[in-house]
Amino acid sequence: MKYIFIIIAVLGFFVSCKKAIKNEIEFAEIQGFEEISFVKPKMTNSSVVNSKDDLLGYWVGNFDANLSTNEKDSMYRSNPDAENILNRKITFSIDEIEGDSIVGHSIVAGNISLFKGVLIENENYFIVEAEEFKRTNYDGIFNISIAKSDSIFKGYWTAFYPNQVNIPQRKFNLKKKFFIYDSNASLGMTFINTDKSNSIKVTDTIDDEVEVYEDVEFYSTTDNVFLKNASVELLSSDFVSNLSKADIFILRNSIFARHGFAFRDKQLRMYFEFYDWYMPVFGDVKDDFTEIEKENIELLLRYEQNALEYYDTFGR
Amino acid sequence: MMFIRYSKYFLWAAYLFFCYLLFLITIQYIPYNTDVAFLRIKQEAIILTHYEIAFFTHVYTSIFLMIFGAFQFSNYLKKNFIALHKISGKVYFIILMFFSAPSGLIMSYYANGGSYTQVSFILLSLFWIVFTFFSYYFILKKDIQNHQKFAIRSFALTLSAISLRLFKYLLVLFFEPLPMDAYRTAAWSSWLFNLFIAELIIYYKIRNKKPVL
Repeated sequence: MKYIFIIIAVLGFFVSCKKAIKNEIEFAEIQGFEEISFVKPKMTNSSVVNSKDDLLGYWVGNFDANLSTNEKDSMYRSNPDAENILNRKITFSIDEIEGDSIVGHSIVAGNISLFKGVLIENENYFIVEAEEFKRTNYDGIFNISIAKSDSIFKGYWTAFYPNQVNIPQRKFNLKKKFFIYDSNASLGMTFINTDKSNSIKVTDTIDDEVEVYEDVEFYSTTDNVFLKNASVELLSSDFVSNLSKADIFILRNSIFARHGFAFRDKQLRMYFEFYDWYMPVFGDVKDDFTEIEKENIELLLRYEQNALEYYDTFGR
Repeated sequence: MMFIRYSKYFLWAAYLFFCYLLFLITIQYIPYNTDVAFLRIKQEAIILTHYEIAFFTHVYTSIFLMIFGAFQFSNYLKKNFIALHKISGKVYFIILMFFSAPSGLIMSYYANGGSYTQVSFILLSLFWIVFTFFSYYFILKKDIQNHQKFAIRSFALTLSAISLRLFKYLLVLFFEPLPMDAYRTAAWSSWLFNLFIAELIIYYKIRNKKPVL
């Protein structure tokens, strides 16, 4: 009987060893995206709206909760994710106009949502009333107006089911923006993933007294991430092999960001939205990559997966 | 006290544990696959036929050195089954000299981390070959003391298979360095540390002692 226990213990121990040499992870190359198809709008060159056709295209800007300062404050206090919920960005795309009906899609927080509606033209204004397709609770109605020969698209979004969402109404002032792929768009900020952290012990000497305290260390990039632009030059495996997990992750996703990929991942979205050049427009950018970018993505993926599986394990 | 008394068994248990981990690493490459585990980041080298041959020779043969090498240090075996000691030693010698070490030497040239790690691994391979050769050479000359010295050195370098990976694990656990910095540090420290321990053992255990036959 004693031996059976020992054998079971030893077997259980050996089975659990597998984790010592490899982290079994599910590795997603690209964040999933709903397959939603839409027509790319034919944009005019004018950023001022004089005719209906000038409305076609991408309108971007902040998409903030329409709440009083007090309401926002109480939300900041009660919800740790308040910043992300209150302040969002929207890409509002008018894809097609036929007579007085319009079709388009909006992108908020990486979610693409189609809408259709009516366009009313009067002497001084264009007015748009568009409904999302009521697929989820998060859909609603856009009420927008823009003065003729003006460039700012003002309006509100109101949820269909105000009681079932955090923010029943949002307001926005949008400007038309042309999506231009710029391979030279560069990174200049450290990525800090506020959702991933380790607690670490920090030893510090203050006034000759050694103090040890707990601190939080976030998953973040090093300065190496600024050294190379993965859309411009082919990366060498020597360079990539000494990058941290976060470095590789950001370098790879910077290629997607330059092509206007709308990230669903909150941390990536919040990071890239800091950059002026970033414009989330597309749900799938795979076909737009240059040869350099394709090769770099493949190399970075290999190292990213390797780092996730083997960086902190017994192995080499 | 208890720890000291049983330290021998703890060491053997630890040794078995790490050998098992090496075994798990080995079976990642079964069935034969050139795009798995470590090879995922070794694609530039694995397309070279001589590297491919060297890599799989090294992976498939080296694990046996852990078994035959350990047998050689059993006093019980030496006292009671000297024939077994001789056979096991010859198998260890053949596997090491004709398969594991030459293939390791070829792989060293393509090691990740630039010349810094390449030099380390090349030296490791050469020392490994030289020590093993002398160990065999001295036993042919019936010089048991020198045979033991070089056998200890040879096995110390064999054990760098464990210490390399263990050091890397510990470095990451405590300092979270960038991956290649960790690897470079482990590449040098692992076998130098082992060799240092080997010299200590030789100094205190063999030097002024008559060999046990």
